[in-house]
Amino acid sequence: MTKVLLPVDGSEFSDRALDYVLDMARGEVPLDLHLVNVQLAIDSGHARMFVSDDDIAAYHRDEGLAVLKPYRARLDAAGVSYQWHVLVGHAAQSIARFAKEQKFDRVVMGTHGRSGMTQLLMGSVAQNVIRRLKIPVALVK
Amino acid sequence: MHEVALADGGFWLSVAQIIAIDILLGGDNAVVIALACRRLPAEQRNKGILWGVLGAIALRLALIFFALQLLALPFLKIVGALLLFWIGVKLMQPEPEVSAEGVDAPQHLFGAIKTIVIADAVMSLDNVIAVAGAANGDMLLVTFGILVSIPIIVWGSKLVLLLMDRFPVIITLGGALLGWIAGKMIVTDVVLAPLFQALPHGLHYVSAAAGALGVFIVGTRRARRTPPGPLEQVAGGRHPGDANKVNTRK
Repeated sequence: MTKVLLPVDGSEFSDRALDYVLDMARGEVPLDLHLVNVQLAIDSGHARMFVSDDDIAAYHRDEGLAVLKPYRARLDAAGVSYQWHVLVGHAAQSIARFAKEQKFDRVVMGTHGRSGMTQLLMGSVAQNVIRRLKIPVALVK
Repeated sequence: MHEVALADGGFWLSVAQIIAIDILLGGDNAVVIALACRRLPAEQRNKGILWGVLGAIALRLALIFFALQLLALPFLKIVGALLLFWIGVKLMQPEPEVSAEGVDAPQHLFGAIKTIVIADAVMSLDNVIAVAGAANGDMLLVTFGILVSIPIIVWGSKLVLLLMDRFPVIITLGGALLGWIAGKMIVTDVVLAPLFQALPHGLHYVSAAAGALGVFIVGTRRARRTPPGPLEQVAGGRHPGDANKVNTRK
């Protein structure tokens, strides 16, 4: 059983990462697949002053579920069983921490595959995740 | 007045500073507006957002007007500079210290608008003090600062969050920028200005640099004291068979 973490963000790159995981699921090794979306934390004292933690959590949950919906539909259609999670925090940091704490075997994630200046300007969650982890991380372009 | 500023290039520097301030301090307005309107019925939600945004803009205009009048009074630039210093330190903290336990999102339009307007008043205060400081009394710059902040209030929230997530260094630079403005502001106070007049010309830069460095040091120290919290999971489940949901709301 390979424990696989698939972080998605609603972009076409995540779609392709899912294609790849669906391919893996057809292979011989059974997968323990976890679909995850990270919602960026509202690190604003002001928002927290006027809106309750419950409401902020509910907001993150709704937004996260909306992102996960199409991926879940595709996994359900393919008959692949999986678990899903909505996390809140810094994107790369949360993915890496979750992978470590839950002892995943590998991470599969989409990447925009930009390089050079664009990479520098846009940053990359995937690069940041790789830097934080020792387990194999498959980047799907 | 700004003709003078234009000549030494300081005008464009102020423009850049004001845009940076608007981005750093304006992002949470939109988040609060969206959150306050969450529980409203769908047909009232857009109305709540519209009135909330209009209220935010009106409040900001009123506040900047008062701020400019007040900053001309003795000692108030010192107070403003200290406030700005604190706002810079606060900006650099990873986890907010306050939390609104038990304050639920209002379910009526009026309640939502009330929440938005009160929140706006508090949030705009940060922005207004900083803009007033960076503009240094130039009305053209003040107007520009307010105009730039409006689209950020309306559409900017997710973009600002994303930017800060990818480039945490922005927050540090932003904190230092607020310290810089605070340092410059303090020496122009009506009471202190004559004292500094006798001293060499570049002194306000020394003061500004001290402000930036001060925010950087205090901000990083305080941030380091906060231990990282547990990973926050707001929802989860298993498919097929949504049996063990984690932490979901009833």
